[in-house]
Amino acid sequence: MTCEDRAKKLPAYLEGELPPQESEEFKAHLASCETCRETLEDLKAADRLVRNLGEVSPPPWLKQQIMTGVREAHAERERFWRKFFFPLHIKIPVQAFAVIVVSVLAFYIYHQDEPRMRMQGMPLPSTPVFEVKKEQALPPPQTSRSKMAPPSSDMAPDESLVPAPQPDRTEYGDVYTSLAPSEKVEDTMPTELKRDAREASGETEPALAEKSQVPQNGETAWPITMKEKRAASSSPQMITGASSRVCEQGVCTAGELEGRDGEGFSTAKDTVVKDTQSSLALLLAVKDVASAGVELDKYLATVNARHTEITVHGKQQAFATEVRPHFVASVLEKLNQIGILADHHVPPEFGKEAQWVKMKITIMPAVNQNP
Amino acid sequence: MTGDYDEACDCVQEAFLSAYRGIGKFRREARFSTWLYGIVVNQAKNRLRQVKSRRGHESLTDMRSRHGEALCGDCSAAPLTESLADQWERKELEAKVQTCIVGLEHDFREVLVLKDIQDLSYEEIRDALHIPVGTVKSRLFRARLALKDCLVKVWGDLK
Repeated sequence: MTCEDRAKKLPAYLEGELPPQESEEFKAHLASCETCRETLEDLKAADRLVRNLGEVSPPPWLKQQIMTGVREAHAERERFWRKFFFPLHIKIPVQAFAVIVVSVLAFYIYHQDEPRMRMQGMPLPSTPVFEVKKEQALPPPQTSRSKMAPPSSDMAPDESLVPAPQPDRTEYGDVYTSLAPSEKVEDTMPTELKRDAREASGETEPALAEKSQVPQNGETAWPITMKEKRAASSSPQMITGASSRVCEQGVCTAGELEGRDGEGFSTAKDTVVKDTQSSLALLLAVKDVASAGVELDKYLATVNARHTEITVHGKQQAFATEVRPHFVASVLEKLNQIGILADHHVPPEFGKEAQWVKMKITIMPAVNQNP
Repeated sequence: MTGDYDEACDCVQEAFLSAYRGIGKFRREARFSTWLYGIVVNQAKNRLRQVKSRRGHESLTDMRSRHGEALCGDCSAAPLTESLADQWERKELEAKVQTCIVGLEHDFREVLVLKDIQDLSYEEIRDALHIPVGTVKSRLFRARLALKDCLVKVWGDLK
């Protein structure tokens, strides 16, 4: 080891940081090496000079200036907190406003996500999305499976055929403004519907019965009146009327059929009809048809429904299915949760004599989609 | 540490204010004075960085030469019994020592100042600078050697 190498270790030697053996070796070398001894002395002198440096006194104003700065920082911090939390005349409105904002935001987000939540099967309150008065116009059931009259954009109501507007119509009633008169509607209906219509109208409206055609086969008929069929074969925007009625064996027990001049025009107020073969036709108005369809399909699976058929007509979906009689009430309750179920009156003993109750549920949008 | 009395005063003031604002961050893992030393050293480091960028190519040594007198303007360690010539020589020597200290690299300078001038222990320096004790020692020994070389160069015989 050269003197230059040793010089680099001299500070450590001075500090006593060298291992004992190396320290002894250093000691022996220093005794014999003048250069290293001088370096050591210089190092000690430099160390002494540094340690003996005069203490630098702070200026007299420094303490005062520091304390002024600290007070300012303290006041600034206090001002900030005071501004938001201390004066009650500011604190209370700010907190109240915050609560309102959070509530509105939560409500808004909840309603935005409602269709998705329904689709995912999350629990929702049974309250419908929007309120509908009992007298309010609702679309009739959509019963035609195959030949549905397509909705057209130029469906301006004909003054001679459109019934007078309902005085108690609500904003949702405006969606279904009128019923388009169409003799051809009957031709587009399934045969069983026609037969059923004939049965229903045979006792209630002879004029309609005359217009009805004789069914071609004896298939089980969906329980729906002629008026309903006419309404159903029109687009949702062309439907008016909202009261409900249950007809049994062709005789209406509640509500009245309304028609005009036997031309096949009627207001579609009937939404639920029961016949001797334990069938139900229901109309459900929802905001989102797709999600409602998914949810209903899932639910029908849970109640062991059979022969479920889903038919999509434009923005509408028609469910044809069969459920056990004791599940009818729960299905109706579920439909009420999903959307607005048109007024219906189902007797408690409905369908008990049958093993299966046929249900036809038509889901249609609850808002006017027409331009 | 900064080589300038006014800068040092500003540093101290800023350090106290920083300590006041960040008192919540003091976790009692080290002594309060050690924590405060760390803040002062950081302030000095930031200050020097600002000064460097402000003065461009002006070296710290030049800066020290200009402010050398001011640094010791308030030195009060000179004994009253010293003659004027001795006082002048002492002031001159201290100015040279300050020049050499300021000329050291910052990492070496802060360790040297904290150990040899402020007389902190290795552990306290470790806590203040957040570096291992081994690094503290290594930097200190190199700083002492560099300072000795600088003093021999500017002053000659130190004995």
